[in-house]
Amino acid sequence: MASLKSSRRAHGGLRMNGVELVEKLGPLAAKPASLKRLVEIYNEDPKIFFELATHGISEPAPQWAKSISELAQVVRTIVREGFDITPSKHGKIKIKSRTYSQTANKQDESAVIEFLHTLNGTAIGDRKGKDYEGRQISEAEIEFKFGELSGDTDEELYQWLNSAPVVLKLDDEDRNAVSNGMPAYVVYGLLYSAPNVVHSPTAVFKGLRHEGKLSNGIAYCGAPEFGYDNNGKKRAMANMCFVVYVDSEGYVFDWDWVKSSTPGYPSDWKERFSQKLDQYPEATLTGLSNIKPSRFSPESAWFSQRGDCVFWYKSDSPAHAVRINDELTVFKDVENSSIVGCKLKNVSLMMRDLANELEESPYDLKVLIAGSLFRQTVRGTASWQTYKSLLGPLFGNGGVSIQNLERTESDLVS
Amino acid sequence: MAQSLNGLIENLKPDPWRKANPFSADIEQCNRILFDPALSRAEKALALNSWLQDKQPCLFGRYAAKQNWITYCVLNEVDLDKGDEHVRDMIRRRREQWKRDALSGKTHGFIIAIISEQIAYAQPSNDLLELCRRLSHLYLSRSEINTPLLDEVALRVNGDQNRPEARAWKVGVNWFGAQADKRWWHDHRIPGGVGLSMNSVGHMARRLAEDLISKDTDFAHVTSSLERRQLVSWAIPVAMRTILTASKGAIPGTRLMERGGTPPPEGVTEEDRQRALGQALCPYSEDEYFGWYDTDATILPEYFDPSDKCPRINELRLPFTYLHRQSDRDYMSMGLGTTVEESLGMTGFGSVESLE
Repeated sequence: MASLKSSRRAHGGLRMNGVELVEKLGPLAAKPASLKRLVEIYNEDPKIFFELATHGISEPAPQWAKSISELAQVVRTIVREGFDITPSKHGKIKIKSRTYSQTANKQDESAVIEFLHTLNGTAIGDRKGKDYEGRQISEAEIEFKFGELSGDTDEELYQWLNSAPVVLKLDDEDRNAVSNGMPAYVVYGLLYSAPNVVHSPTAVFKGLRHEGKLSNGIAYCGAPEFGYDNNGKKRAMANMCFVVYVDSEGYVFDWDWVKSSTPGYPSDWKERFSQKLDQYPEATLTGLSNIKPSRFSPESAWFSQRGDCVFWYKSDSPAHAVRINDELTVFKDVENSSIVGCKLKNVSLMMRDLANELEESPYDLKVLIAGSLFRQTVRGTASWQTYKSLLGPLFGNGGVSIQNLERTESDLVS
Repeated sequence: MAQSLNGLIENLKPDPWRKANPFSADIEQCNRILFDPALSRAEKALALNSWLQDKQPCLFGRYAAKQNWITYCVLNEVDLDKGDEHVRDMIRRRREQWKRDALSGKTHGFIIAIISEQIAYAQPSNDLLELCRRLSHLYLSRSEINTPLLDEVALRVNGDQNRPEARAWKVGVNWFGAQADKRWWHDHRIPGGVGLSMNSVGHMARRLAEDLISKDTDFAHVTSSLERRQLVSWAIPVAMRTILTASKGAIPGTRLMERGGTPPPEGVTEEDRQRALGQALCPYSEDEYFGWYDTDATILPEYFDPSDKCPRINELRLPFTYLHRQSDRDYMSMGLGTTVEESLGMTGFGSVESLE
């Protein structure tokens, strides 16, 4: 068989000539391109394979040679990206990387796998002891194994290595509230879903409120695979995304499941948030290690100064959040959509308005809800049935006291 | 379908043995930096590198850390939450950077570390074994147990007659874990979590020898009669000394084997041998050593047994290398180790006192 003399490109690199390839491979030429075919070419002469995989083939070249060369280049990407091998239909196996997928006959499985690992430089040691001497390798093999792969940017890698993450945390007041009477599924949402979404958000938005300090707040949105019930067991949350709300100083004050039409995006994100962020730093959520659920307490509501909002749950049925207006979000049972609680927002504004209007204590939840109903009615954005479903249970049961609000009232009313 | 890293971490349980046996002080100190959420991956890599300079038993590894010749891929919980394909991609990028830098001799070792408090404090278990296998698979696309898994690294060198060439070495992949601290496999401990460590002695030995040849005319003259491939044998006494040093540590996993009455190879005199090894190492075999575990195997099920006692009853006989030494020139090359170490400032690098 004639020894191969490859033509050189003008700039000195090697490129296989189709005519010479046919000559080199002789009667083995013109077979269809397949992984088995590449194994045969590699075993015949590794340099031919490496040249095809890195530099391709020059004209004139028959179509079968171009196909072989293209497949060799695909294989180069597969081994460099890392691959998984799974059984496929009709007696085949599938070799899949991030970018490409190829099949091979099951009977060729061990030869193909060994070939791919040889190309990847990965092996099982068949001799005891360390390799001190090494072996000589060709420039073509160096280019194949260590040359640049397209698509990578140095800037991305530099950022990944050197950027310090934004550290998010809970205010002590909110941490105490979570561990003192909130439904357990809410606590598990904080412990398991919130970090996942902060670490790997689908979308990040800025501007949680139209006015006030939360106009610079951030919402991290994502689509974790599962939510959690009150026993900490995973449960599916179909057509929902999880949102984590953070104030401008990095304090997490709220987190919810909400309806989603595009995976990882709240259905009403355009109305709720001011701006979608295209670039944002890596973030991590800390300080959760000592948080645990406690006995559920429907007779309590909780005020978060960071979020300027009050949370109340009349039932601990797992729920998702539905925004009614800029002051009221209700929690609806995921199974039957009944209202099981609410979140009142912009409490500071409400307190300011109510302080001069009412003789009754503004720290009672029903007073705040009624106050919101009044304000929203004036604006024409009240949903009477929704407010009624919240207020009804609150009358005649001795009221629901709001924790933390009394202490901070002087901060709110200015 | 294989379980993801995060799925496997969810199954891990805290280690009750660790509660009764807190981490060594040096591990705790490094953990404080590694578990700081405000630090970048590069800062955490620096902390790991600093620990490796003093506390890991391999003298080559310590020297490589001191020279900043180790490439790190530090993975944290953010990476794990982004999913296994992201983890695989970041490992790929850092692996490629390692290999490109190693080609020019800028780096030698590669360490992939998952930094996680939950993992660091987890009990050895089958779930941790599966996590190890999953990480190996994301790195190597394979994860067989009880066998050496190998990667490959290359270096441009001067071949015989000073012809430029490139050589590639098989690189052993080794599992390290915080779980090892104060357990029978103490030599494989690492702060912060778990990881895989890759370091080619042959690659580093050849590079250092060639460096010295280019700088030191006396050394170049002494080695001129050697074939280039023999330049690496100087590292064997260093490897022996690594074992000797580590065997004096708190919980040794390996020890040198007495030479007994074994004669040197034909053509090699006792004087040649003594010159090559030095007096301290002469009583010991340059071919084999003892180990309580197979130091070549990557994923040993024994590492994932929660007991603090070694499950093996008898020590294994382990070879240093599959390099055959048969001639006096091979032993002459072995004797160059002292010169190389002195010239490069490696002598006295890492004393037993600094080991836990």
